[in-house]
Amino acid sequence: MAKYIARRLIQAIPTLFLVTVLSFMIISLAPGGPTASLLLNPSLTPQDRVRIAEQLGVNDPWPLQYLRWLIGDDWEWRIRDNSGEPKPGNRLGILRLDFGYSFVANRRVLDLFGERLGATLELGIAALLFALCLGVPIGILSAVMRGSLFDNSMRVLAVIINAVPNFWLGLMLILLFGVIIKGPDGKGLLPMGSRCPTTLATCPPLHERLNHLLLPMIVLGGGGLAGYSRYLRASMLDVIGQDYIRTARAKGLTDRAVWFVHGARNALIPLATFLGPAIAGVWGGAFVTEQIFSWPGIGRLTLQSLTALDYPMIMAVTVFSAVATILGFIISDVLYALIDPRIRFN
Amino acid sequence: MAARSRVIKLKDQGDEKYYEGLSLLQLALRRLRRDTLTLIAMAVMLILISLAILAPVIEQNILNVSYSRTDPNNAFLPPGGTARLVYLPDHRYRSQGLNVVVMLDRGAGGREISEAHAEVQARQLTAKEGMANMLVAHASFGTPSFSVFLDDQKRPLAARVGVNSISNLLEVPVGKHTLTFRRGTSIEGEVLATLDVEIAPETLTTAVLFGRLEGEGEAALRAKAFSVNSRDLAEGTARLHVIHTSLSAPRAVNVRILDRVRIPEIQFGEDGSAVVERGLFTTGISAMDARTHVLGTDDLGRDHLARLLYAGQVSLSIAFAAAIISILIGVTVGIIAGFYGGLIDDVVNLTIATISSLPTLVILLILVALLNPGPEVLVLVLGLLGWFGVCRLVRGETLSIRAREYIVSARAIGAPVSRIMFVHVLPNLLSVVIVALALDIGNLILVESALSFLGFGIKPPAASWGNMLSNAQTFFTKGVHLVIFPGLMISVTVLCLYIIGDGLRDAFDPTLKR
Repeated sequence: MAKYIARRLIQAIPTLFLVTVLSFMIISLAPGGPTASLLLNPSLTPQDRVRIAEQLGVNDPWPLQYLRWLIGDDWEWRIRDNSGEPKPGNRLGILRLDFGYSFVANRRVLDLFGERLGATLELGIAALLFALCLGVPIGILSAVMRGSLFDNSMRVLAVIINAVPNFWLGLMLILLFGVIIKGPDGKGLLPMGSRCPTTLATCPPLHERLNHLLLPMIVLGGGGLAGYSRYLRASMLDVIGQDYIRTARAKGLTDRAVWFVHGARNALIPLATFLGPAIAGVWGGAFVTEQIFSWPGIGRLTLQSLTALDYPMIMAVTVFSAVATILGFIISDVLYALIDPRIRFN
Repeated sequence: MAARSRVIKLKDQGDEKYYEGLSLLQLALRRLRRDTLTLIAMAVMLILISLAILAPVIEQNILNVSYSRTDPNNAFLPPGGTARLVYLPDHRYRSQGLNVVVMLDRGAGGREISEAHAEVQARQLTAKEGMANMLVAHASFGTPSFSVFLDDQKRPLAARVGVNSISNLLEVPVGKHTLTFRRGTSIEGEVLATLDVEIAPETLTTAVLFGRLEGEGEAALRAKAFSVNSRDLAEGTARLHVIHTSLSAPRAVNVRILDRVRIPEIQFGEDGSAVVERGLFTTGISAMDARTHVLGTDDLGRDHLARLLYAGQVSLSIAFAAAIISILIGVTVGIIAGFYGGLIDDVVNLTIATISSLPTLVILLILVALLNPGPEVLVLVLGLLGWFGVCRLVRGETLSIRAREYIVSARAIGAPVSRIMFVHVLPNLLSVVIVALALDIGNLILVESALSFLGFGIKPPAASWGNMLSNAQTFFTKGVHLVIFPGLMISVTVLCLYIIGDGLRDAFDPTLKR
């Protein structure tokens, strides 16, 4: 097993390397290059601009710039201080988790990420749980009651959910629960967005937080819900045709035992492979969802950075999302191999 | 990873293929004829596409959108008339700025605007911070009114001031018109801004010129509007809308129209001043009304239905074009990889595996935000990032086709590779490709609308179903119809495409039992 994990991790290295090259190239391709917004600052004198450009090394060939971004520039005695003495750079490079400073906030990118991570994780995990807790039972029940009204309506619903753009679904839910349906206090039944404010001193009661979480969770989890239920239905039908199910039936087990004990447990196995795509899906969907619901997470931060062309932030987001997705895929592969020994030896 | 890249199972194209000597395509059509749901979806798609194509015709003839709506906030002024705006003494501030928005009223003719151009000339600005800049935007199709809009947005407006803006709405025939604004501490003030509006005979709807003057003194604000490429504009009217809303504006503002133009009704206050409330744009939304605007108007007073149709043009054509690009690339690479195998196949597989393990939407978002592409480049980007799924499908299918007897026999009789690929392999991929195309278009509509919604895809004033929802949250209380319909259009279109894709897949699958 350890060997398998090691192999998968080693396989990921070239992919990750490619990702860093790609993200660096995307940024370099952008009109004006990564430092345009910094250097166009009208309050800078031309001398300042030259100095900053030299400090940033924007005129060096891009492989060198890439290297600096990757491993930092403290090994290079490149920058000259006021007395003309060369001194080592102060960047550590992304391999040592130094993503630099945000142009806009003028703070460490990693700190900004850290502040927002909690909100994104809260929303993402809630959405995944929501999708799993509803999608799995629906999928199993659909398979058990194949051809029934429930099955058919769930399948239709799944297609419809996939066809409805999630930002519009979000808007409609806000409209319905935040504007049209009124709560007891005369305002909307549910808040129209934003995370429940928390401070160190006071933690709002759980139901208050859930009020804020409910709509974004449904929007972000909707796609997954449709996917899981469809996938599990197919998986169940696949399993139910297997020999061991026939054996179980021949042994005289009740239908319920056959479906839910022997069938469902085996049908759940392929679900492990869904973790990777699920992380990618939740991450991509978080941008839109966080934007609609003013959720103070990384997705919204990224959109703000994109609008402001805050390059250090954008590069960090690219790398982070790639790492998160690749890790998700590796974890799901490992899980799958762990549950199903046939994969490991294949 | 293993389960994700499931190789497409080799379809057992059994006896039914040769049933009654029909080809696969004929057989598929025959099956399709029995599939009511898919047929309905196809019909709806056809209707949507033709509506989008016919949008200009529908806008002008069937909708008969007349934009002569009388806004309660607009006051009319006779030619040469003056309107006086009196501010309370406590609010004698220096003017901070002057915003002018010019929108052209509808007229008969085409809709393409090749150029809308405006210039601001600041003359003799004595103020320290004197500057003028002008933003030219194109207010898209179906724009109702041609207005000049003076605004000072820097200072908040105190609500207790009764008359705080002046409006000047007039109809101008096609031609060149000049509008002069006078301002001063007394009634005879100096000229603050001159507005030349040139409306070429071939003009048509929709352009916004947005100017801003800052500083004190004499300045000319020239808005030269519209070199418009369009069809004949035999007649048409343009409306100038002048509003000055500012507390910091001078105590009196004179608005004089130099042209002798036809003027509709006029409303004045007691002392001859036009009584206007602030906020032309905020009252632009009107509710659905079967007599005037079937689906109401948006915040700029544009007909919502007309914009939905034009947005459909944009969204559909972008999705179609991008899908075709991605299919072309995917099929080419897939056939080559599947047919030759070996090293090429490995490289293609590795590339696809690498890129599929990235969050594509995020990459796409970043790319589009950085490149800031126009529609053409957006199509390219979407197409170039979307071919991996098709490629995987085609590669798998090609692998299975390659092993069939007819390929083996074609090789045996010495057919060249190109002939085998084009004559023997490609036609057998048809079903896969058509199904993938339908699903791809659906997905691309979703992706494009999400990008546009976030403000990175199709930029306003061009309409796309996605960007029509960009400000949707501000419409919740004022005009719910603006939130509902664009999303509904996306959902219905994508749903139809999914149904069509599924239906075609079933129709092309000869092993499927009904």
